Amino acid sequence: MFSLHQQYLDLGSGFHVIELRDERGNRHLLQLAIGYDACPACGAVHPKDNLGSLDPAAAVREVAQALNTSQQQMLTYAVKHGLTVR
Amino acid sequence: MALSVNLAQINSAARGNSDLRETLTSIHLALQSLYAQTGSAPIAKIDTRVASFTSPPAPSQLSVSGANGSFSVAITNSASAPVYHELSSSPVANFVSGVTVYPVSTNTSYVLPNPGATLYWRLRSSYNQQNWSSYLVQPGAVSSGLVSSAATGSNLSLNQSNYATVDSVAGGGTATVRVYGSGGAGTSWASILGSNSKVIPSGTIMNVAYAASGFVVWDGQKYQMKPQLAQTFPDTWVPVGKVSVIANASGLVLPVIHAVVTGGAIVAYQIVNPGNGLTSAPLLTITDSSGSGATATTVVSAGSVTQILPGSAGSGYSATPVVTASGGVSGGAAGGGGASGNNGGRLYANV
Repeated sequence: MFSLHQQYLDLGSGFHVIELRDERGNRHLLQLAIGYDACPACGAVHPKDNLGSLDPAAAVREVAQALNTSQQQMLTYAVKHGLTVR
Repeated sequence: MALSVNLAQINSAARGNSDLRETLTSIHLALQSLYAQTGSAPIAKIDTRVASFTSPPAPSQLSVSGANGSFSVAITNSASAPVYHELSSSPVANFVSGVTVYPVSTNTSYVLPNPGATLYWRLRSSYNQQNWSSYLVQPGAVSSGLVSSAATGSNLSLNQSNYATVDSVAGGGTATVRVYGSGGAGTSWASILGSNSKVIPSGTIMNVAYAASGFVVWDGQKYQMKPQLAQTFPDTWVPVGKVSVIANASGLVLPVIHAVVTGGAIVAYQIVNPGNGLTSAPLLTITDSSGSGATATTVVSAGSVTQILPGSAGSGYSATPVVTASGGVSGGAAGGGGASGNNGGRLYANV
């Protein structure tokens, strides 16, 4: 089951980095772009204006649930067909 | 005391310099004459076994070109007999410094790897490696150029490959960029550099603005999105792919399609609403409580569905099968935020 392993703010890249891990060490990175956007035309950067409405916890729940659902289906498949899980 | 020197020594010392050889020979003969007149030295020829002088061949033709980090040397012999060549190069035109002399050989072609070098080239030839022609200098300097990964095989040490897919999907007011492997979203992917490979975790990058585009790169700890390709090339970073998050499809309206059923088969389709803002043909999925097998495709023009092309009519359909349109945005899911991008395995400029 994937769950929150660590999270931090990477100020240089402008990401809230959230690392999810399962028992086997598999990783998935959830990154929230909170720093700035770049204008596609001129490349100029401007700050995000929606940080107040972001819900990282909900994002973690959503992504973890999707990963775990997928993983559970795979494990069920492995059991059904007698596969060794590595 | 007599000066003891013979013609073979003179030939060897003079090598290919005919002026020097003739001068030394003249001195030698003059001494012999002097010895004969004064009786101070033997007048007999000192070495009767001296070999006759072998004239060097005419200079061969030399052609040196540079590409992909190597010099290609082609030599055309002027004589049919085996000719020895001595190739040399120098970074300066007059060959006064930095001269590299390559091993003497009868080969007439060489490929000499030397990335990023600019050199002058010259050649001299000989039948016996003693008497050499004058140097033939190739006019102008030749640059080898830099090694391109496009010129090497896949996964050699200069090549970096990855098998990641980068795309984006709508995420409400912002887009979500996904990075994943061949197993689909949420699966890790392999990065191969030369003969080494490593597994990199999948990623979900949320809150990316619509209409943004950039290059996704793995910096060893996390993903980054950079607007310029060159920004993804620090030595320890792994370029992953290019993503173009299309504009927010706020004006996207998916079409509404009704099926016309006769005898359990779908014989026609009615465009109830042609939709709006479509940039690609939406897919049609036909579901029903009893029927199956019907297929149809759409034709889009100016952002709207203008035509339905029936495929199989199917069978067993009730009177009200449901036709659901999806997609409609090029490269992405319905609702906008679609994107495309992966490097197809091999990284060479076009990621």
